[in-house]
Amino acid sequence: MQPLTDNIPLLVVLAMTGTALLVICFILLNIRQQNRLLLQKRRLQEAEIRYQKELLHAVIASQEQERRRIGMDLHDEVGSALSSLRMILGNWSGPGDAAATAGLQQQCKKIIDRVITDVRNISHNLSPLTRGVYGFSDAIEDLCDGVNQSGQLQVALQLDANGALNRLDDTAALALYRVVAELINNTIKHAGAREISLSFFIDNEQLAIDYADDGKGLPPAPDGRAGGMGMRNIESRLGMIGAAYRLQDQGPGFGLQIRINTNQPSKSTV
Amino acid sequence: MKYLYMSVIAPAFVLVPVSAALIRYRALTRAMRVLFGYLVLTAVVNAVSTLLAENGHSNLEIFHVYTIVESVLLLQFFYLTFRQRRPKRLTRLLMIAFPLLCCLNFIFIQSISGFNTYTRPVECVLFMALCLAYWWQAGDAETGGSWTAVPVNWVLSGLLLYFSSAFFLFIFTNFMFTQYSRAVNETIWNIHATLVAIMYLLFAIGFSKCNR
Repeated sequence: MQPLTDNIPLLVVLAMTGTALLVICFILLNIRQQNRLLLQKRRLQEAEIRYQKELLHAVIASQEQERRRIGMDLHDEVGSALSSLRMILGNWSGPGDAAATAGLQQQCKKIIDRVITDVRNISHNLSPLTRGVYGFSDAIEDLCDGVNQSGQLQVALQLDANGALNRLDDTAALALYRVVAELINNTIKHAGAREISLSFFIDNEQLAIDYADDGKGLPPAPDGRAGGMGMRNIESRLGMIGAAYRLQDQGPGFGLQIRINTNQPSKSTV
Repeated sequence: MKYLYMSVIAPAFVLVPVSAALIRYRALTRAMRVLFGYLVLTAVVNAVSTLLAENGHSNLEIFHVYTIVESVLLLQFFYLTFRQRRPKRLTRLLMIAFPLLCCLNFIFIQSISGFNTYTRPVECVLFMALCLAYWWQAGDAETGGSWTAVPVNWVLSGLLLYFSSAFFLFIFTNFMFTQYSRAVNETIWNIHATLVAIMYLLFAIGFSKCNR
């Protein structure tokens, strides 16, 4: 056996130095890893805050748009009808010819009927009836009929979930009505589609809503989230009632699948 | 004075974390207060052992007792630092088992007038493992702030650096005392003293990071 010639103190110093270096490396890697995680977390938080701000902005902008539309409806339809009524009554010189009086009465009745219809339409748009005898299904059917009558495009509506639809509370019903209206509005405005397919059915004990059109579809969003103000609005409303949704990411046209648990109350008011 | 660096200058670095702890005392957590107690004790033991050495007495007996008190205080620090029940229970168990091992060692195994080369490395392994265990569980938990803003991270860095680097030295201490010259031993113990000073400085940073 060879005698030991190694310098033990030198080896001890080397072992100490090596261990110290290993520990320093470990600590530095730990710091780096933790700082990276922290940075990632901060970025996610910032993105979430930015997104929430965008949602809020979309909600406020759509409210403003809605107010402008109501203002225009009142001004153009009700306002002009009342103005012409005032003009007619202003030109009336008093009771004279019976035939002329009857004509005037007829004209005034017509204008008043038009005002009544306009006011009803405006109030219906403001707050669609989604409860009671005239329920959610009827409101949706009316909405689709209105689109079909315009002749621009056809809505194929399938209602196979009347029980679940009746169980929807006011908040959820109104939110879903607005979502469907916004989807149809988007299709009319941007998709250049000919047909919309809208089905309500039960899937895994949940109310399922499948919406699809044969238009040009959504442009790809860089962050993978829904693009325009309309879609942000939809997302916000669905988020408020705790509904899950998925955008169709393949194939032509636009598609959106919504799933909502009708046995649970919705989270918030719309 | 003999061994000026290792027995006076390097141990005097303990005043840095002690001062930092006194300045921030109100902001210290219970764990950091235990660490402060450990540092005060270390300062006293260092002063006593230097005085003993200067007067030609052996101070190795003190280190057997010091190992026990040091381990109990540091284990209490870990007990208060850990959040999960299992490591807390383990530190409680070690607070009884390790001092018992130290007593058995100096009564039956190693002479109290020699260096405790069995229990000291065991202590090193113990604290290395506890430091790593803390970081492991901290990685699992949600951590809110930056690494450098957490006082415990600095303390554990100091402990891990010291105990892992001094591990080999403690193993070979008795061997080198008997086989090598005083000058060689002095050189190596100067390195040890530097590691101790670095540990104190890291503790001082830890104390300075304590905020209410």
